[in-house]
Amino acid sequence: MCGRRACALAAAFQIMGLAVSVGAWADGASVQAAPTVPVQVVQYEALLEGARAFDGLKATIQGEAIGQVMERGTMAWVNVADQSGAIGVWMSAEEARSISMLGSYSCRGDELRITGTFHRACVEHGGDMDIHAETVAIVRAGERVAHPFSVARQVAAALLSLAAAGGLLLLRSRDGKRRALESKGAKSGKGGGHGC
Amino acid sequence: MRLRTDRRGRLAGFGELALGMAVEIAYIGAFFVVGIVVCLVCLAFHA
Amino acid sequence: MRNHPRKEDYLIILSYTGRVAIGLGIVCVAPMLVAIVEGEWSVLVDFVICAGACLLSGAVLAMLMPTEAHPGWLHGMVATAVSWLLAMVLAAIPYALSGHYGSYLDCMFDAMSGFTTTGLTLVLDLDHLSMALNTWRHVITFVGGQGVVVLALSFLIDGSAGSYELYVGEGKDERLFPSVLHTAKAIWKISAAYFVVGMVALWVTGVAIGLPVKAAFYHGMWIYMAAWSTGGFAPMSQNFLYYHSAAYEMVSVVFFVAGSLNFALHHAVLTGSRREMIKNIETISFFASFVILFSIVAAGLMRAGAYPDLVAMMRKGFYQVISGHTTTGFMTISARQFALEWGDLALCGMCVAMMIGGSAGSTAGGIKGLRVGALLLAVRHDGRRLLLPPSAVFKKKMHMIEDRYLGDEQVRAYAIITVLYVGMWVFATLAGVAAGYPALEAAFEAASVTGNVGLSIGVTAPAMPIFLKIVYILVIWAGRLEFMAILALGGFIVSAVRRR
Repeated sequence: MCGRRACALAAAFQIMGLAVSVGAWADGASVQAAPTVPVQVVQYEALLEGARAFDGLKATIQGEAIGQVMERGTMAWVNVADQSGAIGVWMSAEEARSISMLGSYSCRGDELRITGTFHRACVEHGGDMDIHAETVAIVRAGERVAHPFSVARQVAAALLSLAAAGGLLLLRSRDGKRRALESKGAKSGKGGGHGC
Repeated sequence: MRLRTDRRGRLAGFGELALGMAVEIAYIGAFFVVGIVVCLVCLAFHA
Repeated sequence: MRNHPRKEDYLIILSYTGRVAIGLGIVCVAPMLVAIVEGEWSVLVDFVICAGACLLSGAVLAMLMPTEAHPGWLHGMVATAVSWLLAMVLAAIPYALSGHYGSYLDCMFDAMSGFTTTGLTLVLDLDHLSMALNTWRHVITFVGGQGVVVLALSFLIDGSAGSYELYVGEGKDERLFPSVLHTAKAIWKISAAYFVVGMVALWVTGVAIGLPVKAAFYHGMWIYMAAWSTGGFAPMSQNFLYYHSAAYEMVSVVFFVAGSLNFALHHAVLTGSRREMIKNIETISFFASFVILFSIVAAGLMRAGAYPDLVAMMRKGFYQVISGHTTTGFMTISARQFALEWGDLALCGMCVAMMIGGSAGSTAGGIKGLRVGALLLAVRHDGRRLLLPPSAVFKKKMHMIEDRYLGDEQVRAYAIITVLYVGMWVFATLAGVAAGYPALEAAFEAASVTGNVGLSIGVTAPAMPIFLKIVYILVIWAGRLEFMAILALGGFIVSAVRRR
């Protein structure tokens, strides 16, 4: 468990270092505190584990848009999930409306590549860990997911239902007989029972 | 809206229920107030 | 208690257990309706299988009731313990059929977590779960919470406030059923009133924060059930962080704090005794412990530099503390952020908050405000006794709905349960450390498990060792039943195997 965390942190710092170097080479200037050219997609887990290091920097994530778009005026929240977890992305409502499918039981949502500023505890959004998107690109459209029937399960369901119905009818008749016996016993003046 | 009262003049039924819920929500609201005060004190000390 | 159980005792217990299984089969109707409305036909089949299994096994077991049976209190207690285990096995069926779990053990973990209103989960890919299965997760939390309230209140409202003292060997001579039915009616009325208010509030707020109307209804229903039962399951993998909304968080706080209050208190306040809200030992002790513990957590968060301003401190610090202290378990941060950003002082404060928990006679877990308040009162009484002359007489009372005598017997009972809770927490912590987790993380998760909270620091995960999953299941089960039913079961087993 510690090994995984260390690897994730190391990867995060490597990516950051790469980004800084490429940015410096492109600008022909000295290393800047905030690199402007991200080069590689970062997994959510790397952002989480290296949150303090990544805070305020630009990052690129790629993942599936899930759940619902929540429009808040001219902006919107879209939650994006990759293999390692999900993060909220704050983008313009217009960009959000370009997303045609969101992940759910019946759909795989559009896969998005988002570049934006990562916040460990966003001041604008009450301390949320989020990304304020600068560019949003749909790399793969979503699609409906089929959930086919299993014949074996349908047969099992039918058999169990029949058996359960039979069992309940039998139980009901036994309960009726016991109630009749109890009321007979009460009429003849027998006392109540004691617990163990 | 006139609330129903019983013979002793106390609220009965829906009115009583609503007032009771209001009292409970006020108790819960006190937690928010205390929370804000505690945060402000901590932030002030830290500043 | 009889020295050696007779065959009749086993049959009575199994028969009671069967009735619970039948009830569970009926509960399957809720997710079935959702599956039909949403066109989730393969999921509908899964729930028909589950319902069939519940009803069939329940009918077979219920038929075992002897014709001339004399069920008593101990039968009820042992059946309670056993039926939770059977319910765990049966409720896991839809999970297993969904393909969203790594093993049947993981499915049973989630089922037990739901019934005990814990809220820890081992589900995979929650964001693609069917609506029906998400409904099932939340409904079993709701039903489990209500069931435990009925159980707990059947002691309190039955007039024997000292019934928490009743352990194995001290059987009650009266039938449990009549008082349980009476208590259940009162509970359902209170729950119905809050259900209407809660559903409307969450639905309207959900729409206001941008959820589509249908989604806002479903999320509102699920979140209400999880909040009122202080369960903490949420329909999305980010838990409450999914909504990115202070308003939605605030509304949830109202309903999960309300759910953590003693139902006897609700009954008193909602039927005119409104002063009870500030006189009750539990409301006082919960408020006091919250102030102290949130101060500790806030100081820890400031020291760790976790959150930059008041709003973030409230939405993250305050929210997690009140969620933990009420044993709800909704989270507005990722689990790993506890470990990475909160610092040791804040985590220690959280552990204590989770262990103390909410009120007795509610859906909350933990040691309970009643016991903590009563023990502190007892310390105060003993302090006064030391200072006053030996011949001095003073009233040792506490106020809970009415003034009650706080005698040595009651204090002893509360202390024993408290010691059992702390002992179980130590056991769960050691298990976590043995599994390779750092001590404070193991302690945090253990507190969450022991108090049926549901906040996670990242230990609870599908990759968790099998033995730790089993330990957590047992701890969740024992903690929820507050040891009473477990001790009854233990005593029953001992008496069964012991020679005459």
